[in-house]
Amino acid sequence: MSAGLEVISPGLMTSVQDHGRFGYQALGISVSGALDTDSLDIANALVGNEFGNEAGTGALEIRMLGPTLKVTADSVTVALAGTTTAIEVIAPEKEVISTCRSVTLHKGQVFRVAAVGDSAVCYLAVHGGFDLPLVYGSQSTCMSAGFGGFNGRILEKGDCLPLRQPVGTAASQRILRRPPEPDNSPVIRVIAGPQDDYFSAAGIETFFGQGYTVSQAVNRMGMRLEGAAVTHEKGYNIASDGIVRGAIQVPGNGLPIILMADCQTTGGYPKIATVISSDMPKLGRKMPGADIRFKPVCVEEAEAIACERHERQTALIGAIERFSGSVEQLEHLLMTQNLISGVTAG
Amino acid sequence: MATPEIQYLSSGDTALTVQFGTVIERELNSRIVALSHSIKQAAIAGVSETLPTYRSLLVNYDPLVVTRDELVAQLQPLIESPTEAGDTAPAHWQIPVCFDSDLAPDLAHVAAASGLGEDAVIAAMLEVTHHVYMLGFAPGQPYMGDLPPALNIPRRENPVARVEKGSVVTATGLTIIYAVPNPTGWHVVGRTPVEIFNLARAEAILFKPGDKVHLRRIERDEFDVTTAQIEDGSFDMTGLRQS
Repeated sequence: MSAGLEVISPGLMTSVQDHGRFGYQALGISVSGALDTDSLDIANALVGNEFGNEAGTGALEIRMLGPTLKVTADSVTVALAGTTTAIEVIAPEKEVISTCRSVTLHKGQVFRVAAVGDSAVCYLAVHGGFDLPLVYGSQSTCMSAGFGGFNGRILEKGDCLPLRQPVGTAASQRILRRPPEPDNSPVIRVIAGPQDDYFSAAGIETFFGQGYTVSQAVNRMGMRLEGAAVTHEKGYNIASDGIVRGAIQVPGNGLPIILMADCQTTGGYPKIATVISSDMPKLGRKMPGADIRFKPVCVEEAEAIACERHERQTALIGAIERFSGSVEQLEHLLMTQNLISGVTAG
Repeated sequence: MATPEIQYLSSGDTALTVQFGTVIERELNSRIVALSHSIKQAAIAGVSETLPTYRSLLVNYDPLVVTRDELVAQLQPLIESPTEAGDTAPAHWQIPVCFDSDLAPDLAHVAAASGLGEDAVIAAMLEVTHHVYMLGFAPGQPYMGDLPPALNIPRRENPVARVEKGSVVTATGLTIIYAVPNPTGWHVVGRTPVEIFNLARAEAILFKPGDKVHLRRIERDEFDVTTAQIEDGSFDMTGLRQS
């Protein structure tokens, strides 16, 4: 067994994800990839990995309850992003590592990400990435077809995640002093179509006028919503066509389902609208019970928003600094800047 | 064929659905597959991939590189002067299928719904030269047609939670072979031992859009023998291709 990270406890649903699998949808291969790519990029940047659409490095996508991991490599540099929850080192000595900074852990140390209260997903990146094969160009786990990531499935107790760089890397610590403010507003911006003409005027009014709630039935394939049923006008069967992440299909019962990263490539329900790409990370972070209100925008607005998002994300990652002092100095610095959440106090 | 009335439908800000029509028709489908090849050859900046389906082409793009309007302007000439479909000739396949009742739990329902007897349903499925319209839903999973009008029966009202890989299912005059275990809203009328998707194989995916597929009836002993051969790696895949 190659050295890396041993899974002591897998968490609720932990999987390896990068930006996704592009270029194979015509073969029926899902894109998969991180639900919140913005946080994935921050986590990877913090440990000095490549990030972004083109390369991207697989990291652990943690869903609500994180894993407990033991370092079996000489050392590993890790970072957590997408939550205010901290990494807790629990053995041999306790230590709390705040979010949005990297830390180098050594052989025998056990650490965990406990309950994540502020997001459905967050990301734990390792310096150098995991030594897992690329399947159709990606390390993302496609659970429905059982390939990619670690053995095509979520992590289980006893798994050992191999590292590409299992020996000490002496990577300097990196920190993002001002993590992005989470946007918890219920507004999700969408572009109408491609089959909005399948719905009655009243149905469209319901969709945009009434709020919805994220149901318990939410996973990486789709997010089922609860709320007012949307009425169709031309039935709810179409000759199957292509689906993109963020498409909102409305089956016979009238309750919208937002298709997420692991969604099938084609489908036969009409799609009333599509979430704009810039709002997909925010949507991916929504937990069951969260409120959602759809707001229509036109394509030109969405294009402008995409440019703004790109600039904001570039600036954010550009603000990541190297820090060469001791951990104590760093924690002190953060304390004095009052940027650590209360979770680290105990 | 005259240029069909093309509609450009937005699928968010990262994809455009180029819709050729709303019905399933081979001529439209061929035009779509051809356009998919043309777009690939044109190498339009910002276009990441295309996904051909029965009646539309999904064009995925990066809005930071190309806007929707710029994309439409570049697609228009490709649509107006269509090229011949593709650079690869369609392959012809013969796929063994067993119709024993435990592998075909919905055959009786399909027989009743179509007014044909079970034998006539099987005969109809064996006789047709299936055209692979598209791959979708799961890796390499073919959507094929067309069965005779009597078999244009609706899908299930309530989907079943799981059918096995290799399941041959039908509804609405079309046939699918399941790539991996999945829920289905279609009717299971047989099963092939052949894996239409297997990542461990050099050619992980058997079919491509435009291919032709014949189903060949096999009995249980051949189904079992072939299943065992596939498991131990001794099955000769080349026998599935018709010259």
